[in-house]
Amino acid sequence: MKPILDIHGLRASVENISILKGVDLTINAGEIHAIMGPNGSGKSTLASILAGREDYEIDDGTVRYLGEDLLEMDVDERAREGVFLAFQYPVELPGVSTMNFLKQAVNSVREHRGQDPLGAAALLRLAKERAALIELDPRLKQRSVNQGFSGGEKKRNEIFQLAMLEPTLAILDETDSGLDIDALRSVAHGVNQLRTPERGFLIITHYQRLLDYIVPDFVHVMVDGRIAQSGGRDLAFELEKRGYDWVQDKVAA
Amino acid sequence: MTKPLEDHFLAIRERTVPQNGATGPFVDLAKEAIAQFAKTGFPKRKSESWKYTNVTPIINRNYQIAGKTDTVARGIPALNAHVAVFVNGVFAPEQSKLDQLPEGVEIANLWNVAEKDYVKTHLGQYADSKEDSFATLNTAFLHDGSVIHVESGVTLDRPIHVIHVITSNQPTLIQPRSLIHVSNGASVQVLQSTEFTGAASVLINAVTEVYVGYEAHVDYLDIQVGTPQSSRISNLSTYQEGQSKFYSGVFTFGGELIRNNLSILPNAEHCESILHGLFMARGNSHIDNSTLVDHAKPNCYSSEYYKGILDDHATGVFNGKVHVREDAQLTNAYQTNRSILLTETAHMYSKPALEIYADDVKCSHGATTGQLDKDGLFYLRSRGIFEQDARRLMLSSFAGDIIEKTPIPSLHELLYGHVERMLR
Repeated sequence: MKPILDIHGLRASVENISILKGVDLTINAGEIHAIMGPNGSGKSTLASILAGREDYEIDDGTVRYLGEDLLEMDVDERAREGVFLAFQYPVELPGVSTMNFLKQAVNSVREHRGQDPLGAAALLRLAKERAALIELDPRLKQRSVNQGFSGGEKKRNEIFQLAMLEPTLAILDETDSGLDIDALRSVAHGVNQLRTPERGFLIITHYQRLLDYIVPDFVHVMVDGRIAQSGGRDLAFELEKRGYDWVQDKVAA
Repeated sequence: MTKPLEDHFLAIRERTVPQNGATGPFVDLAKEAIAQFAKTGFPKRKSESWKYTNVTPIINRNYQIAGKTDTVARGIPALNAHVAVFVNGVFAPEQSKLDQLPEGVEIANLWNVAEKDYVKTHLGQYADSKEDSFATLNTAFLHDGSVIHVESGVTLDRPIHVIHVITSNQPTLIQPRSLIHVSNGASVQVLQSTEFTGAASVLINAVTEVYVGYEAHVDYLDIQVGTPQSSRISNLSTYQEGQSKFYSGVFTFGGELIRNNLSILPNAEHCESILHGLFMARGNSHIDNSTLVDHAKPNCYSSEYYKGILDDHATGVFNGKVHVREDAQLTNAYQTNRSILLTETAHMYSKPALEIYADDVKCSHGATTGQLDKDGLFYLRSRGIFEQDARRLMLSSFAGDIIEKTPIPSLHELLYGHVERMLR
């Protein structure tokens, strides 16, 4: 079976400043991978490139998603194909009603998969069920997308959308940042409910804390645009104890 | 000095309305306006309020006055309303549905009610026939028009929908004149819309005067879906008595050259005036909204919110003035204009202005013009929504802000439909 995501020698830059300097990563179905690393190491850049943000120049390397060239796909095409990014900073969309947004998103994805579009009632039922999964205040559905949401509400809303769109590859970009412990728990609970044998997760985080609740199969440490170290869950504990300097020193040496 | 364009228009008048121009109830008003118009002429771009709108191309045409035809109005089926239809400016009672008007409400030809007090007292009192030469020109041609009169304390159960059907097989000039007189404590919603058939160019030069009595409440909506051949200069002038409420919603979708002048004079305490507008233009359309709220007395509230979306080579203008006179203490006046340009070749000129002569007031104004929010677009696309759909969703939400605030909810779907069509 083809891996969900297969990244080979990925190099990328912004305005001639090299950010990713040769990233290799393979995610198979059912696996949760965590990428940790100090600020500025390129973690979020990797997430943005996978989602299709166009601010980066791809200098070298390949990204295969279910065997297809991901970098050739448009942003919306990637999403319809099953790639989902939970944003670090979700965008507020004043005036755009959450239910209208969900309807268009869910039905774009469903039609792409050859499923019938959901009508208003079915969508509402699904939204209700999925919102309960991550303890999202149902009243938020009546507001404009993310508008006036607290930091925690925005992050929950991202995981809610993940639950609605049922992607094959879910990328969580620092979903834990700015969350208090209760919000962190409910977001993690939601993610755990969404673990399936068919789905792969890439979780980008600065802190080990999130990984107490979402237990990864693999942990990678990114330093200076490369994956400097990979291991199992224990690597996260070691990083928590010893900090990133230890890996950075190893890379330098 | 010769004024060929002005002379040309006065010649149209000579040719087309000799009998009514010579006699009739409004002959004195008209004569005065003819003299005034000959003196002031059409507005020039050197005048501050016409700086961004050049009317020469649309007045330099050989317009004819069309007569009534039997073209049938489409109307708005979703709107449960009392309907008054005018074809080429002439009342069409056979198409109108006015049989269920409640007692105390009158919709009539101006000519037929010329001797009523409310016509004699109010007609020509609020439209600026001195400074605004288009209003003057309308008055110069005045021989008939329409009246909506609501007696004291009467509340209408349904809106009144005034439909203008315009057929243009040759360049056509239409100059509708309306008086809406709403007595103390009465309440009415009026919607005005225009339907075009025919391929030749049309110039509508409309004047509407609205009198809002003490504690009266008037919602006035103007929905114009233009064609590349239709131009319109509109003057809507409202006078408000104490404790009255007036809502104006001006929705303009396309047209060759559109100028919507809106002036409101809340001339007593505790008035509320809401001015909302949505304009969308593409191709070479030019849409100009010029508004004036003249706060003359204390304790009044006005809130103005105009939004625009400009595509292709279109041009938008927002000239909004809020004038707070020395006596108008404790005025609350707010004004906002937001516009989105979809291309590099679309233009928006936005000039919000506060002129405040009282010292204890709360006033604010602001204007923003920009492109569609790129981060928002990326966010929507990252959820699988096609780019075109994402743009439409964002733009119709942008417009929806004004649509959702209209006081006739049964119009919301229609308005969203117009927005969608403009985005195609």
